[in-house]
Amino acid sequence: MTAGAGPSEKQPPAGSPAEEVTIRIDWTRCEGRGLCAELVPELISMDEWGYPVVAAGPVPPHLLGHVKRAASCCPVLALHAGRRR
Amino acid sequence: MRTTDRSLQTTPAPTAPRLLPALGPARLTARGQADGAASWADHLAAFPVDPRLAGREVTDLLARHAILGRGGAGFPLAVKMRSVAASKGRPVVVVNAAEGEPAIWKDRTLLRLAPHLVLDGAQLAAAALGADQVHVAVNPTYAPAHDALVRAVGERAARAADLAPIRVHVVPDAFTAGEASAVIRLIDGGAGGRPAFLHVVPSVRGVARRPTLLSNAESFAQLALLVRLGDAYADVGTPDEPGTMLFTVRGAVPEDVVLEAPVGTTVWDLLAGAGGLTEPLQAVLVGGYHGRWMPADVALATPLAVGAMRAAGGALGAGLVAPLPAECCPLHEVARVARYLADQTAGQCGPCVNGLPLIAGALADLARGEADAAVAARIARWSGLVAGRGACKHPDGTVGFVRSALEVFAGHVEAHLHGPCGLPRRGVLPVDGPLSAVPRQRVAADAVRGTR
Repeated sequence: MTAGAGPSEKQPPAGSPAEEVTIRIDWTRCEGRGLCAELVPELISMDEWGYPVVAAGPVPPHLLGHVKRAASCCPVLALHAGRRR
Repeated sequence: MRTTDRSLQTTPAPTAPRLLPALGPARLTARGQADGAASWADHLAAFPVDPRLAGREVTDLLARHAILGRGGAGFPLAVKMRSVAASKGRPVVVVNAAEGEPAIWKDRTLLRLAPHLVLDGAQLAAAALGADQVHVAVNPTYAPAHDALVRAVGERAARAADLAPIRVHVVPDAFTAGEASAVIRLIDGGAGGRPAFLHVVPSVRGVARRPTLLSNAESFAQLALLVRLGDAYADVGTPDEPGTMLFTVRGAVPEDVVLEAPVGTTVWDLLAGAGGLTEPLQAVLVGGYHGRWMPADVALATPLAVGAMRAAGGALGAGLVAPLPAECCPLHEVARVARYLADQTAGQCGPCVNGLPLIAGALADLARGEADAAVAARIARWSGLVAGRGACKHPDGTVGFVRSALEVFAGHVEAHLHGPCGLPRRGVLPVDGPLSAVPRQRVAADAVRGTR
């Protein structure tokens, strides 16, 4: 169990818009404070332990502002919204 | 040059699986049953071409003959190297010999036998990429491997054999300490041994924020063999996955062994080479504790290759092949390993910390015949909640192991709802023993610099 941890090494599939934003959680920081689920309930819910469950796929453009605000409001800076790398 | 930690000498040595003669050509294990590690002179005698070869050859050869990473993920080395080469900054090469899994001994065996072959591969990769540092992360609990590595590094430094100086880092003997991000963090001097959240892959930004080629120790040894053998490297193996691989075999075989075999050897043939089956089987665990259970008849016929295993519902992983005897409670085995994996959480990520113990507890109840009918549904729900929700792949790998077990042992799961099965609870798969008795080390004990 070694290689391949973390973000995917694969390139995004051809034709996917370069500006697609996805949500990633730094699980080593996340403490389940829950602000993100309150700020973007359309995309983020809570699991039974209080940690965020993020809807799969890119962030729809009309929610980008909310997601960015949630990222900046996270008290432990565990929420990241960015382009795929 | 020996480790300075006295505790290693007072702890009973873990019993290393015996190395058996290779099936097919002995490449990694060309020195066969030799005692002790190859010195530089032994190494050159066994592998007669001088390793100081041009980096350009590496790229050309890798384009013709794929080497899939031997650490578990099976990711093509050439793709990683291209990604490193395309990224900004002077590259770094990291050899991962952390091997924190108690069931698997192939990297420790390889280092004990042929440390210079591993280091040759790292130096060839460094030359191809223009890297100026090589780091080796090693699990110190098996002293013959650790000591062979340190001695080999010293020999090379004394001879100014390498362009890129080599540093050895001792990793904690923990399952997740071998995760790429944990190894990078250890080398960077951070809290050693625990995985970290990475914004980008190590090949873009890893050690010291530089592009980092991190691969398993055997992958680098394979690279050294490829450069030595040229196109003859592909004389064995499958067209897509040429060469040989090291396997660890334990379970319904005469003894725990490590052996080299061509990629594409069927599980049946490998087991025959490991001394043959000692009793009837009910299933085979392939890959490791992040691998997959397979029904015995499916597993035995499947070639040990990344693609073939995947197609058959298995996973080649890091080459564990563990035939499970029919005469033992499989759910007891599964529950023990699940408990071990839950205990091996690095304790950082909420879903893993909360979910794995619940899954392990439910499996233990089930194995004892004390679970209610909804247990499978609960395990499935928790599995869905931990997979993909950690800084590393420990939750994902654990869930893969558990899910495949519930599928392959579905009949046992059903029967256990009405009480224990009565089969012996044997504990075939190792989960602790001497390895866990060794105190964990948190700092690099050895740092050996080469010249220049």
